[in-house]
Amino acid sequence: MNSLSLLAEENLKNIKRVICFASGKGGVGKSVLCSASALMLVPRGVGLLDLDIHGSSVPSIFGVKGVPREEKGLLPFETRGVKVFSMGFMFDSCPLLGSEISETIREIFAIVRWGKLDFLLIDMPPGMGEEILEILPFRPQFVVVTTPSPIAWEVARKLVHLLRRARVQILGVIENMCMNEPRLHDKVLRLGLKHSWVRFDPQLDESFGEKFPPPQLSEDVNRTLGELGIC
Amino acid sequence: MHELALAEGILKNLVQIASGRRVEKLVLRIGEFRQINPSLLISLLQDLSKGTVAEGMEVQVETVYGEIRCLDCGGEFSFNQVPLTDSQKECVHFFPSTLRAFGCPQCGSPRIEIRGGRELEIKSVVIK
Repeated sequence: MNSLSLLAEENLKNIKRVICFASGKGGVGKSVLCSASALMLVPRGVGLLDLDIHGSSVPSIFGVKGVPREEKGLLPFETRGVKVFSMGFMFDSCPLLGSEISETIREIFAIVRWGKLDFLLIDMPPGMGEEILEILPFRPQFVVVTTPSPIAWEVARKLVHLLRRARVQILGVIENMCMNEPRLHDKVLRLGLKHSWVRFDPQLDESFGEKFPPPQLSEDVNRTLGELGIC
Repeated sequence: MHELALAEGILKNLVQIASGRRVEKLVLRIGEFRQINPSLLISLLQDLSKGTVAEGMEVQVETVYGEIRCLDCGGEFSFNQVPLTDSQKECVHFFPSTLRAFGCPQCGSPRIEIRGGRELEIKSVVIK
């Protein structure tokens, strides 16, 4: 183990559960569901780590521009009871190569000091590359997010296979942006996973900032957290 | 004070490597992009190591210099030639790879090659 890994271990030792929201495919609503879940889990100790270095959206969802404070590392920015860290607080855009993404993720885990938390929710970027592989040593649980689209589901299914090969615990699949009813229930159950669903919320775009999450999304995410055994 | 966190991580690593044996000397290789103050790091390591197997050890820090080469205009630059604001320097201090975000100092291209400058390694340990 190197010095950064040991620091990361120290920073994460007081966190009860690390849960990643991942999809493989972009645009399925991972950041929205992850952020809404974080707010629903308050007043318990909640941290939200935006690992989508190239396309961070957590700062826009919360409507905040935080600057992490330096104190023996970096302290996450606190908003509405959630401790938030995003590279989006520091950069507008930061094109990184694969090895640099890996290195930056190791640095984030080594120097961001979360303190005691019941939950650290991680908003994963699309794809199945460096970010997923770098996070595995921290033994996170995963929530797989998809939309009803067969194209999104096909990629989510591949992610499920990858996570199973890595012997990672998958809490379940959230089918997001459903119009009237879910379409993937049986397919998800056939994979031996829990299924939950969230309706398309037309008020979502207007809610970003203080009004997030809108009432329908709050209701659905609350139900989802229960159905997947998160709370 | 990032140096304090790094010193703690390095010391934990060192104690693991020593596995109960006494440490006489530690040599570190640290990339210049990290903008670590070597004398502060050495002093913190010596303070933190009191009461451990590394108490009283000699610490040396070797700075590894980095280079930025633009793949578009061919310009080559040292870290000091990259014009960074204080807050940009702080970002690079914490996340050295993000130096790429500021692009080529000459033409602005994001297609740059970064060689060295990001190291944080224990180069050698002398154990009694």
